[in-house]
Amino acid sequence: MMRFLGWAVAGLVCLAILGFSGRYLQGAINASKPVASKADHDPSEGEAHGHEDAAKLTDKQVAEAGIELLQAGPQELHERLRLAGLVQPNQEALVKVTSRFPGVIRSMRKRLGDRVAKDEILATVESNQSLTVFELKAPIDGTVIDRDGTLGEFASEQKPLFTVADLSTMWVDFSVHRRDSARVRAGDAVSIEVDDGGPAIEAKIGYISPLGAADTQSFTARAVVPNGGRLRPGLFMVGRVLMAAQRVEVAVHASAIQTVEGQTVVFVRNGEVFEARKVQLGDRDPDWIEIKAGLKAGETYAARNSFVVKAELGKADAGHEH
Amino acid sequence: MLDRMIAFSIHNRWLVVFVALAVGALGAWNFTRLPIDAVPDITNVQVQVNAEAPGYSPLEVEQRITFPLETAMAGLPKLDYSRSLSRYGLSQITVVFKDGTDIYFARQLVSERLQQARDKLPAGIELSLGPVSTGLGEIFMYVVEARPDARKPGGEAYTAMDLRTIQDWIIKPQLRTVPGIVEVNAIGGYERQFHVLPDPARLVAYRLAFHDITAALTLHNANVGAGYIERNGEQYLVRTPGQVASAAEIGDIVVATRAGNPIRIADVAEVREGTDLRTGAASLNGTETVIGTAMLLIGENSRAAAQKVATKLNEIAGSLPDGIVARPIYDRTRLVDATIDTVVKNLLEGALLVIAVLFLILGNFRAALVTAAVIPLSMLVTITGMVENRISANLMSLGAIDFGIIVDGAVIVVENCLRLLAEEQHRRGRILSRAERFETILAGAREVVRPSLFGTVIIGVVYLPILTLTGVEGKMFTPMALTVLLALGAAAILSVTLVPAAVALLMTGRVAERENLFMRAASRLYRQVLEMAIRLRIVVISLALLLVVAAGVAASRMGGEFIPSLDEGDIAMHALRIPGTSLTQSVQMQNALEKALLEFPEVKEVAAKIGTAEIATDPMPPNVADNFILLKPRAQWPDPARPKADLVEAMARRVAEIPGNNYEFTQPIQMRFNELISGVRSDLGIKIFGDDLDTLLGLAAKVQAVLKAVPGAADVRTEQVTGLPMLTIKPNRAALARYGITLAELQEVVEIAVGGKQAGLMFEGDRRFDIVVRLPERLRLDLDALASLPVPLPQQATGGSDFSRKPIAQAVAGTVFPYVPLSAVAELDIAPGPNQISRENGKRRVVVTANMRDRDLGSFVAEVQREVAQKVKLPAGYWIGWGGQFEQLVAASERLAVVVPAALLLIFMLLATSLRSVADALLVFSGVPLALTGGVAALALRDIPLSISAGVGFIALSGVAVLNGLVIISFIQGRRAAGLPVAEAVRDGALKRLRPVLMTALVASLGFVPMAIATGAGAEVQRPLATVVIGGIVSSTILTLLVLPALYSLIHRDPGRG
Repeated sequence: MMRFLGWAVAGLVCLAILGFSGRYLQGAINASKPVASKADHDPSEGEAHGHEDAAKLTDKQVAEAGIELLQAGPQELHERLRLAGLVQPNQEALVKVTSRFPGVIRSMRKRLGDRVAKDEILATVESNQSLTVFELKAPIDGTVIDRDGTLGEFASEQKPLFTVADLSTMWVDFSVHRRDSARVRAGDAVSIEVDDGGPAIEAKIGYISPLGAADTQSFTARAVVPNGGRLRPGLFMVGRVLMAAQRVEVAVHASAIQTVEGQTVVFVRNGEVFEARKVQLGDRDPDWIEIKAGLKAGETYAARNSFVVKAELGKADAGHEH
Repeated sequence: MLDRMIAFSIHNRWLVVFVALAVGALGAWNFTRLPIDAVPDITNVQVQVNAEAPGYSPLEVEQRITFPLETAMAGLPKLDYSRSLSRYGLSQITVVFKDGTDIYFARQLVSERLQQARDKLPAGIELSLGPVSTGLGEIFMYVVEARPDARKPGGEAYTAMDLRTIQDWIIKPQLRTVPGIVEVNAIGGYERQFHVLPDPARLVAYRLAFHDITAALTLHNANVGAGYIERNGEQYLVRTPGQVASAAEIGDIVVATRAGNPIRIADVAEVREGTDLRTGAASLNGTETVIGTAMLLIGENSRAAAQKVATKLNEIAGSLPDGIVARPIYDRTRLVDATIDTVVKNLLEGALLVIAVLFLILGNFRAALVTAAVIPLSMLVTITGMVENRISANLMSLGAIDFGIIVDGAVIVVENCLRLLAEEQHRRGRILSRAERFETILAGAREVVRPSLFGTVIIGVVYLPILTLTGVEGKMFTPMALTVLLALGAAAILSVTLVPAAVALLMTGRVAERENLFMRAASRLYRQVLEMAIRLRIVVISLALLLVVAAGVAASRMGGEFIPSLDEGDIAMHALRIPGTSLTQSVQMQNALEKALLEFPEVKEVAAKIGTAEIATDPMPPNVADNFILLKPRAQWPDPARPKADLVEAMARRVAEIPGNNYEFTQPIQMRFNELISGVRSDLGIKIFGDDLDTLLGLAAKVQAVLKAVPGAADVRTEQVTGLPMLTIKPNRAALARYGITLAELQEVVEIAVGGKQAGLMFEGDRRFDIVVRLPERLRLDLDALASLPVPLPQQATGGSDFSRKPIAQAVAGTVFPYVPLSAVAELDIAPGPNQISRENGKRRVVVTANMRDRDLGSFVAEVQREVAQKVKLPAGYWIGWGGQFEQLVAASERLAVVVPAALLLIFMLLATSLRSVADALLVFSGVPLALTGGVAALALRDIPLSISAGVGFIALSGVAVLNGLVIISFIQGRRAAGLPVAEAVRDGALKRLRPVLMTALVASLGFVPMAIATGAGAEVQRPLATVVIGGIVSSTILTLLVLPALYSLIHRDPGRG
């Protein structure tokens, strides 16, 4: 009896060994799991914040992160458009001087660029019909901007010998692409950069061409600009058209606009919580953007560094996979 | 044979001693060649191919570069798998080879394939193989700083770009020559470039296009050699230098001529020094800086190399401009030294304790010395073996060496010789003659050599299962098992050669006949307890059984961890921001973070690498930063005793207040390992392969939903692949056709304007800087300006209005400006696009990962597979792959389920043949669970979780327990064979064997005491093992001495009484 018991005990002990060692090894291997999950991230957090659209940030945190808080409100939008322009003589203050009768040029008194007074003699021509010499006079005060004739050359009544222009005003013709046609109107202020080190010249768009250019699908917007001598026909200018100021009811700073999951949002602050508010955008200028829907005047929102709020909202998704 | 070996050793004792000394000397020499590191290297054999594709978006990178390269890698010999990553401007293919493949062979194979694939890649793609380094490779980091008052020769302050230039052209070339360093990787600052920034308005005015400028730059910037001429017997080399040497010279290059007037680059563009579009930044203590990392060549000694780098850096200081400092911030030497100090201290103290115990119990100094001599000698032999087998010395490989266990064999031999010598001396009543002494020693050694060797073999056998581990576990623990086996083998050989020889040499005089005071007290105590145990044997056995059951229950409730992680001293932290965060924004957020961390008085410095370094060893996007938090020495802390975990927790709380960041705390080496072995580190990874990213993501979402519903699933996540905001400039083909512009022209305009196009190099000595044409920054960043970007019209379409001759008359402005704005021919659209595209084995994949809690992994995986197959319908061309830890876990479990019982069976058979009795073998075996109870109790007492380290302790323990039991049972068997009745034999045997059992137990446990209580660097890795062994041996000894005799007397009856 005792002997049997002894055997049973020994057998049990052996079973215990086998069982224990198996269990331990299994345990030790399974034990690798916590380390593995640590290498990822704390998942519970990811579950909790995955798709929330509000982030809590205390005033101190807001200040530390350099987030600027502004209030939505009415704003005047000043839209600008950069246009390439070409200086041309004012065609309305430009006269072509043509020989009345065909004849031979006997003298050319003025050279290209000469300033001439009204009735000053530009050239003399000997008429083929009367063989008398008659004078070509400047019809206006101005500058000779073109001269097409040499001494002894035949001057026809078809071809102007001189072009005299009053350069006290100039045309600056801007090329406006068709996509911007609705944005440029006569009367818009334009500031013209002469790029000669001097200040920009302020002018107004006075005329918009009803015709377009086929090659470039653009049309001309023209400003008539008083010339202090800095504008020379043929030079290129860059114009910034300041479109008619427009008052909107609710606008936010451009830095406030962020995109979350494909939606345009503004982060609105309620107490200590930022809420991602879907908004519908309207007109804009470089600094301000009109909000058509989604935001009321007087609400506080994150402007500069608003990305930090977005980062805080989405940080549960921030991962580092290799 | 054993007998002859012993006899030979005794007779040629001097020879044996000399040979032993020679072997020791060899070991000492090998010690200098032994690679030393803090932790074992667990990197797999991998070759990284990095392809730099400036400006390419993830989709283009994948299509044009990753795919051809990946396809080229398919079918390499010994290939395990390949994975790839396509990011902005970077394609990285990681080719993983089977373990054991020679790294240079693997690189050779990969380069051959790269050569073949090169033709299929777009022009201008730079291909490179990652450095020949491992996860332990980043051994030294330094920052390049300018002192606040430092000024350049011109008087300006140094910028980040200057620091980078100094790093790239002064420091790096010198550091790269340090032996053992394979690469110096830089991050931070800006690379210096020369920028040509054309003004679109002026280009339009001169009727020039962007490509005219790039063309002019390439045509006007080259040196040409023109052979030689011979003249009057001399030879003249001919060259026509034409390289530009300064920004001004670039400005003078002529782009075109209009009416005889040259138009120079300076007329249409601004030329200036600028910065590259960088992919990475670095910061230190809240300011931008430049960080260099020295990477160790595979197989080199990290400690030696790091020291050499430090020395070199000091030398380099002399060649730096005034006020510029290159200062180390992370030096692996510190950690390695600290760890090795701990190990050495533990081993030395352990050895001293062992010697003390030997002396105490044997009562003979010379005998103690002989036994102790085995320790250094076996260690030196082990070192030779490690060098031969390319095992590095580190915490893990040296962590399981217990001198107590190693000297067990020697202890038994010496003890028995001593006992017999004393008996013989007592019998003869005089000091023995030399011949008699040798005779006695031979007899003594012979008597115990078999059980002793046998014990060693058994301890060795229990380590065998560890050798079957593969993967990361294998790399961690195989060296450990091998080292222990080497040490055991060496000790075993020494115990039959050197030990008898040394005993014969040294045991000359009188031997104390009586046992010393300690042993007599122990014997007296033991006699009484033993009597009681035999009398109350049923109670004793039941109690023991109860203990085993209790320990089993306790063990099952213990927390588990893989291996205790080495405290590296410093802290590493990932700061993660949402995908799409720009580098500048990241740097800004990083600065706030670093300032917050510096508030801690324990923190010395905070350095961070943001994004990807020059060499993309770890291709991080700009929204991720690796932070290195370097701590002050503990003595300088306000509370030097503050636990690191507490500090980390406080940091985690503090940084959580800084909005927009997510954090992961880890340690520098650990972080690097995670980056390199990565793959899928969760329990279960469901990889969905296919072509279309959206479909893949849809499927992933479905799989995720199914997975979440399965009981036991935790941490279910889908890999983040989208979320990178992308500005798509989508050409309108109809409009392009209308204007007569080709698609390529349009794309060239966008490419040059936004990304910039390299157009030659500027040389300054060795230094070379890119010349890049791109839009001025104010226009590049302005979306409206981009929309108005002029796209030139073809010449013929402008109708030949030659305004240049006659600038007057009725010119229509539109025809004078022969261009259209970009937005007229393309649509600009901002939408999130793919952030990165991962591929594996040549196919796109999206991974859904999950961990498993409170469930058996096998059934969990089976259920998930069934559910997914049922509920997720896969379109044609899509398939699901199963991976993750579970593969390895299942494989390891299966293997261990065979190997462990096999090892146990082997031991059992060894025991049975040795004892010639199955019953006795079982008896000896019963010591194992009894030993384990002590180990479990010790762990529970010290609140240490179960881990593989502790497991290795249990393994060692089983061996020692079996050895103890064997010694006692074989002796009792001997007594019974001599005719003693069972009760008498048990009593006598147990008492007689008290000394060796006590001695082996004490040396084995005391040898580990320093390791168990050490607090130095690396102590936490060794602590569980030492704790288990100490606790287990204490319990095992007590229980062997009491329960085993009780059991024996229960099972065996005197033949007469049956």
